[in-house]
Amino acid sequence: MTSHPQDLSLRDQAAAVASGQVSASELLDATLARIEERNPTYNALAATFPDESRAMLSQARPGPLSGVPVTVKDMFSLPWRGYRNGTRRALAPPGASGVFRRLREAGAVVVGVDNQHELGLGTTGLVSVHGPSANPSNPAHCAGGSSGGSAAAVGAHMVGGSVGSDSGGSTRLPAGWSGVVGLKLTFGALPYDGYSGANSTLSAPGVFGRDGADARLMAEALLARTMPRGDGSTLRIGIVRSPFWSDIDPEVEAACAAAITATGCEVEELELRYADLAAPAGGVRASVELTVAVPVDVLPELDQLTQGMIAYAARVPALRLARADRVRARMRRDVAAAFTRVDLLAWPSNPAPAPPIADPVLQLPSGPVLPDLPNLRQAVIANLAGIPGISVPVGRHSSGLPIGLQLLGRWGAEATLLDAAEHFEQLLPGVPAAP
Amino acid sequence: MASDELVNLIAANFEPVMAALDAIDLAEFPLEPDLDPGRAPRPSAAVLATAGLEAP
Repeated sequence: MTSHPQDLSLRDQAAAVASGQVSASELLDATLARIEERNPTYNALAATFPDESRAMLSQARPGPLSGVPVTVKDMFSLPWRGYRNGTRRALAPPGASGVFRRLREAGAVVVGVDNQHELGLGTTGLVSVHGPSANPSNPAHCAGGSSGGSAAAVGAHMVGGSVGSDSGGSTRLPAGWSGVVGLKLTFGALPYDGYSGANSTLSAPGVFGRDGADARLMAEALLARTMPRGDGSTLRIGIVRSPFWSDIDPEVEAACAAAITATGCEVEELELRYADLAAPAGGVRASVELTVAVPVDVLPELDQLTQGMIAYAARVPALRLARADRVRARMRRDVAAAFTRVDLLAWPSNPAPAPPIADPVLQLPSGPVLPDLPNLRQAVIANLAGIPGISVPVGRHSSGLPIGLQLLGRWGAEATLLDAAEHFEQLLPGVPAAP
Repeated sequence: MASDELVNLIAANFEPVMAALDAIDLAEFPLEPDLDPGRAPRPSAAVLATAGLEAP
């Protein structure tokens, strides 16, 4: 018997409210109490605003998420709070961002703003004015980034669904580390106003759920369309060995490979000839785009590491940026060609499990390494191409930390990714959901 | 602002990877007007059609 409504899935929360089994007001109060109880451990939320949430509930529309609490990353403006992007102050005026409007139209109640890596400039979630977000499976380890708070809030059962963002893996990477489902949407698939990612050609909102069905519900709300479940067993999976299956923690590699085999799906080995250039091309673009709109007077307030990243971005030669765009164009065409042969591309979401907060170093077969570059290598090709991608939990490492498998799909093929995620879940019962 | 030492440390971490772009042969990465490189993160309908896909 479930004793707390936040231990219900997002869809069961919605059904319970719709049927009157649980009052939306009681659900909101219980959610706020759960956040108060658990957030000191996980540091997933930067802010709550009970008065505004109750006002939102009183005006909640009928819809798939009517009366159900969710959180949003600090990259989306709300009518009472401009986005801060993980910094000390608002970087945009208050207002109803496109994401807020879609959530409101679905009837959802925004109950908090998620902690995040400052300006989205990192994959660990460690650098934030609010301090690091902690992993739902082991709070001594990183939740990931940059949408680490969004992943941790869902994984630690503070909310059933959250909205993050993904400019270089920032939804898929923390989902993989935190043992939840994270879906990056297709670039430009919903309104970008009031979203800090509107400054970047790489950025797209993403959604988090504890499983594929909850992620589907969140994605349907944001995309304002229904996506009935299809058959994930008939999908063709493309495996690109180099570079995405190279220098991966052996347990991560084995769990991801076993999950693909277990699906029974048709598998084809593919080559993306220039894929090893995705990380530099994406890194160059991201470093410039994610910092270009930061007001100069905010710079002294930022973490020293963020300031250093901005200073490094300012040194990126224009010639290199032009070269990155040439690589990007080629990569986009190569990805389109791959999708004539397969429905999905698959490789590990992260090269290794979440590192300790106190010592954020990945232990790879090649040796110890800081996480951002190897994480970027796994993720940023989807941002360069603008395609959707999902991270699905497929097992646990011997350390107890989650392992995620990443699947990429065609432009607009969010439903296909969710079908695949639910197919994987059927075959791998009991994988994550923490705590 | 960040010290030169810190920026140099960051550069030392990133540059070995980023510098791969400096060595590419541009002939292998032609400008493709329909892709609008750097500004349109999804291919045009024409490019998608070559892959049998429809724009979202």
